[in-house]
Amino acid sequence: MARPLVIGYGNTLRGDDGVGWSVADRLAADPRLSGVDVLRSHQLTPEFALDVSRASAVVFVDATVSGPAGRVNVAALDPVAGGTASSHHMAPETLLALSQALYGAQPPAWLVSVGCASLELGDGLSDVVAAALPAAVDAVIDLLGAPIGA
Amino acid sequence: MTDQIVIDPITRIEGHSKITIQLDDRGEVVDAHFHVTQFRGFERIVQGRPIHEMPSIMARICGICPVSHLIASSKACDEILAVEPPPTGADLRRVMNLAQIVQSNALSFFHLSSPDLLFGFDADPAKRNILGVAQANPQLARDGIGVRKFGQQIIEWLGGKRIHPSWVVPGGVESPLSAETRDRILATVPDAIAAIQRAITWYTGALLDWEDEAASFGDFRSAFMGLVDDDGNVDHYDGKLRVMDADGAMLADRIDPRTYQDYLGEAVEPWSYLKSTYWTALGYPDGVYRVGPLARLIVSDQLGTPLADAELASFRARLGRVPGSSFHYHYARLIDMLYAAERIEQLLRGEDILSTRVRSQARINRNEGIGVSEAPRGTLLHHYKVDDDGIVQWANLVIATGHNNLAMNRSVLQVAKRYVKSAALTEPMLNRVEAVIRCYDPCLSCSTHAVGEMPLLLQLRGPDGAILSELAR
Repeated sequence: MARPLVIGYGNTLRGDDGVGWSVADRLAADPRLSGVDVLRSHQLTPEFALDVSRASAVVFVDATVSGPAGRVNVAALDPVAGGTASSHHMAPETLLALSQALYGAQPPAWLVSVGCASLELGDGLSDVVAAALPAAVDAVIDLLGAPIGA
Repeated sequence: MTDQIVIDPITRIEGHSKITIQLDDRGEVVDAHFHVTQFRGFERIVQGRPIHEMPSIMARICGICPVSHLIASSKACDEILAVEPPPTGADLRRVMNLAQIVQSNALSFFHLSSPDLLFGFDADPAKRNILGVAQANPQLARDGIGVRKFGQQIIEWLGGKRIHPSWVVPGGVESPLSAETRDRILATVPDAIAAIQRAITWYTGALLDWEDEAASFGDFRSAFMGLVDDDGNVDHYDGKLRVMDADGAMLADRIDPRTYQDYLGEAVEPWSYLKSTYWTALGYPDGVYRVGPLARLIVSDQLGTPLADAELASFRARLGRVPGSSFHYHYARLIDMLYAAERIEQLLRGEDILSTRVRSQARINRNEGIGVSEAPRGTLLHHYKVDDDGIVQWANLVIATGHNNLAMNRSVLQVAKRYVKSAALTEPMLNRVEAVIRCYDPCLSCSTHAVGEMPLLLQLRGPDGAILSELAR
């Protein structure tokens, strides 16, 4: 049976860019999401299309430079037919399009993004982004519906 | 006046670079350079670090082929400790190294190069990407994802994560293989082999479409270098260096990699952070040689697995023993992957593969160590000197992309002369200049030990050095 999937991604060595990993780490340990698969990655790559295609729903978690630091944003995603895709730059929408084109599967998907304060070299989150972690976790849980798999 | 074309950044390769093309006063291409514009300096960063940290630090050079650096670094450390990994530890290192070969070659062929091969070098750039491949040839795209995932999964199942695992350590590997993991990997081998075979069938069917490109994409006489075992067959993990010239004659055979400095020189040019490695007997810059999948197929007598050897026979029947065009890296990369998948299965079916003795322990016993292996892009050397406490005093890395630097520059010039006309600078021209670089699948993060992605700047310069035109991606 298909399970929901969370993919947290970003560079943990560039400050707040690692917020996707931090949220994913919390979700992986959260009993409210015991039936959810959680992946972490530095960047989205084409191989994730297979994981996406097998999921009942997908939530991507990333950092954003748009909007105030610490703000948690939720946006529904649609596959895009065009756009570029390379080994380094792949948007979540492109992954959805790949999933549809290659595996005929288009699970509902959302992007939860957290506004960044600092993207300087370093492996910790800024205070304002760290304070936003509980809200980001709750946003994912709200999307996937708790309790899942309980 | 003369003109200069600059491609900056180059796309669909790993790292940062640019290409400049020099025109004479008649508008003809007279020179071209592939500049690597990033710098990191790992050879200096590691000075003062304890030797046991080296594999993990060196793996950070690259997010695509960290396992290659883990392997070569751990082998250099083995020498400093004066230990030999237990046979099972060495075999498990081999499995991970081959998985790395598969996933990296799959990235290069399926994700980075197949858009050009499927749609052609003149196609609309908007569809010349992996999503375009998914729509036009879904089976090819699915196979690319499947094969790369095959390699990535093995690395993750053995080392705990897909990128930067720390499982390969001085003296062997950290933990033995469980029967469950062995069986899990073995269950994935048939699908991977079938996918690679489909790609070979597709590619060889399309090969004739690319005769023109093959004749000008780095088609020149040079030597080739790779590691071979005692039987003269390919060896991605160990073995001795073999160097063959353009006529198939041995320039050197079974060189102990520890003596690499007797044969290989490293030149530095002011226009690039990437060192140019050359065969010293032929001097600089005439001592150009190539490494990587094409070189491995050329220098090896056989590969040693049945399906790959059959494909090697077809490869040689089509192209001869020493094909001169770097365009054939694509074909060679597929056969390299097929061999790796078969060899992984052979190793995992070895009767001692589940042995729990996988690591040898020792203290510092030598002050110098050299480790060598075949990385996806070619021969990789790590050379360290340490004090009596095991603190690194000096390090030198000789990276596959550095071996290929002279050949890449020669290839860029050849393509530019064939396709670039100053009067009508077009995207397909630029794509071909980029694509010849992509044949080598250069990893600039490794070769300059630098961070980042690989955008490309193309500059067209006049005879006085003035920039006449620029195109960036």
